[in-house]
Amino acid sequence: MKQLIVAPAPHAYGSDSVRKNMLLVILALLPAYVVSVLEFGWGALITAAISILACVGTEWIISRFVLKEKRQTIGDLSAVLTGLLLAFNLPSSIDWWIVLIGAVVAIGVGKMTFGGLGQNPFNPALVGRVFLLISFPAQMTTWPVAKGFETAYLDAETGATPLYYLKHMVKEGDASVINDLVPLKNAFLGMMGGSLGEVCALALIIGGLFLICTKVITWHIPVSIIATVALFAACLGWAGMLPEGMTTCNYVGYQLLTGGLMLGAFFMATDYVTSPMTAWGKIIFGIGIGVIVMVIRTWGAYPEGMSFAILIMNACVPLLNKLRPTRFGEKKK
Amino acid sequence: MNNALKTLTNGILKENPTFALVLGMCPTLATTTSAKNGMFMGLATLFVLVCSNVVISMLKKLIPDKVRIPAFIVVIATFVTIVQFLLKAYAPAVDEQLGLFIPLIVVNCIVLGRAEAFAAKNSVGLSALDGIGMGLGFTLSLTVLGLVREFLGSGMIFGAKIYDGSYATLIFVLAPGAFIALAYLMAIVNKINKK
Amino acid sequence: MEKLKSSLPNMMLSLVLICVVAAGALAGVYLLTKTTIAKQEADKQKAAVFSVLPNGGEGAVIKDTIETEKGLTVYRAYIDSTFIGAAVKTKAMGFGGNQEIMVGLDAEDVIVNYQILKHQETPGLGDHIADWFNDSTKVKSYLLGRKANGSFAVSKDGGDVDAITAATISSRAFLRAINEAYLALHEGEGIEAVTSATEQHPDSVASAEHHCEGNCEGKCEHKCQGKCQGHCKHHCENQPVQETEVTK
Repeated sequence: MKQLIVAPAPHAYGSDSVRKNMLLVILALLPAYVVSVLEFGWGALITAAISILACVGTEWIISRFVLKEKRQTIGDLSAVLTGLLLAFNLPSSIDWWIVLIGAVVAIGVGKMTFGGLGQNPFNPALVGRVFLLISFPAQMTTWPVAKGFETAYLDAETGATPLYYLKHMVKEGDASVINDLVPLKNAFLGMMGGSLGEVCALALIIGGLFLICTKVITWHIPVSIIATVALFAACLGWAGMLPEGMTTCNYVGYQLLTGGLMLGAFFMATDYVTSPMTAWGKIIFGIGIGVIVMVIRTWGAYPEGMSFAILIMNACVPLLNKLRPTRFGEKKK
Repeated sequence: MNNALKTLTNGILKENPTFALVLGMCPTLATTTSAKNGMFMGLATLFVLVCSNVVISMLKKLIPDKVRIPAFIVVIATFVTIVQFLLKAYAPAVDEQLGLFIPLIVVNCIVLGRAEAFAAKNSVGLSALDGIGMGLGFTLSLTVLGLVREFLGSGMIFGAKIYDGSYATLIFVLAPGAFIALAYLMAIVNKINKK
Repeated sequence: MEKLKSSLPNMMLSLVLICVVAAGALAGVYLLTKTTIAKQEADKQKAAVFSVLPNGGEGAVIKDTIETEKGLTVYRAYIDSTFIGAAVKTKAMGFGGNQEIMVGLDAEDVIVNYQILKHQETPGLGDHIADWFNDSTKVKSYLLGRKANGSFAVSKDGGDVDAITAATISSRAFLRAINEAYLALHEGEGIEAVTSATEQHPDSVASAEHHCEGNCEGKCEHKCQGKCQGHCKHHCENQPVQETEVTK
């Protein structure tokens, strides 16, 4: 793009580019990925590889043969990131062809249909995930028990997630499953069942802080989501709606550390294209996600609702972008 | 004669009620879980559309302008109820599948829309042709939409198994899949119509 | 002919005329189809009943139709005054709404067949109730040919029937409906329910002790609920702790 610069000197060269930002996000995801490889072994490697390759491949095929664009966009790494995020949202033992369908839908339906990067109203990786969740509910909610490289890729021994147990306790008043819950410490360090990339809250928080420090994302969205969820869970506790044998403190901890909350708050909701531009817009966006996710977790049919919450709030982004700061010199009415 | 042919073929692609006029979305999205359901819904609408077009065209001089909408609705509702009785008696399986959506033909925009826009202004013969054309267009698009959704969502075509259902993407027989399939079909029809 | 003016008498006259003709047409069609519709509905009900009776209910006659207090309907079938079995229209609250099931039991309480009449379970998950429990390739969930005693429970609740993958709630409801059907068939014969752990049983306090007997079996690792808690605690303390099965 350098040939377009026609302004007189001196110039301050901004090194920011799509490619660089995407690279930083991918870097920030690596700690969590390392944890999941250690936990789920080959499954984590295979699923991520298929997902990334399929995403990049789909983008190339569509822009080359359907849109017939001259300049290819796969070099900006956004498809790689989508692929990685999609893999993070899948159980590691899922069949390869399901990953393939998810990747094609994520890029094809979620992104390229709307015109490619920058024009998609919804987070492509989440479009892929939700598509799969509705299409293959059994496979998408069957998680392998983590056993490192001994975890079989297919036909692994399966277990439920902490949120599933929580849901049972809340919805069916069945306090007997409390012993099946993993201790909070394990949930924090990542020793629990779940989708590939969401198991280790600690690694995700490290990655998220790295992104905030390198100014790839701002604090508004993650902080407002996490604060809203914590407050909502605490309110449920104060209102006495918790299952027997569960303290408010514990409950808040489980809500924050399990499921896709951290992954969603730091990496999915903060996607540039599908989040609001202004600070207040971002805060309202985050609060909305927090409330929806807690409503789904508490009263909804699914044990986890992070992906639905983010997609629903994605739809509100054009409205939230109407919240603009006043222009310099503009008079407030 | 050319005019009559044009009236008949208009509804099939160029002014296709589903893909070009985007009318009657409620039955389009809700009943097309399989090609068969889509086809029967389309045929039921076709029957109502032709009958109501003919009757309204005959009565157009007798209906004062100010009460034309209630008059049209009564005519349409009568035919819809007749369809429902007939389905209940002779095709109970279809009636069970389509359920509520048969009575809802009364408020289908296409039926009232064609009564208002065509039958109230044209001769009986032309109105009948318009009803057939539009009805066929509706039937065709519902069948195609049902075909796509059934194939992707349950691995079957008209109830015949094509591939193992456990590989099928279930979303297509559910509500969100209806929107996705409709959107892509509409894009294709737009592309064809543009040429 | 000129188009009619929108004057009040004109409008009234034309609307009244159209309505009268429409009403006449509808009445005619209604009369024509009335008997056929009634026959179709009766046939449907009959087909559902017979499809779950032993041997397709061949030669059988439905003699008593009993409605229980809980809204279950029992169709008792006889061949030459010998009781061969019964079809029970039963229901239970599932995941998305009520499941209505027609289940057939023969004279020895063996499940002959079942048919889902109505359900609102999640497609792809809970709606497998229609083909999960009658699939002979799934040994641990195949119910046909098993003797009902009102105590079917999913393996997670300590029973021996495998629940549908990722749809335990729907499976529980289904089994509850089958158990209810068994109870309805033997209503008034003094058979007490051997309930599953998740069931809320409206027993009187007096019969609670009796009801708890046997209910503790196999439930120790999951703990008993409700009024049996005290009873089972005693029972479980004398039991060796068993390995818990990993939840599906």
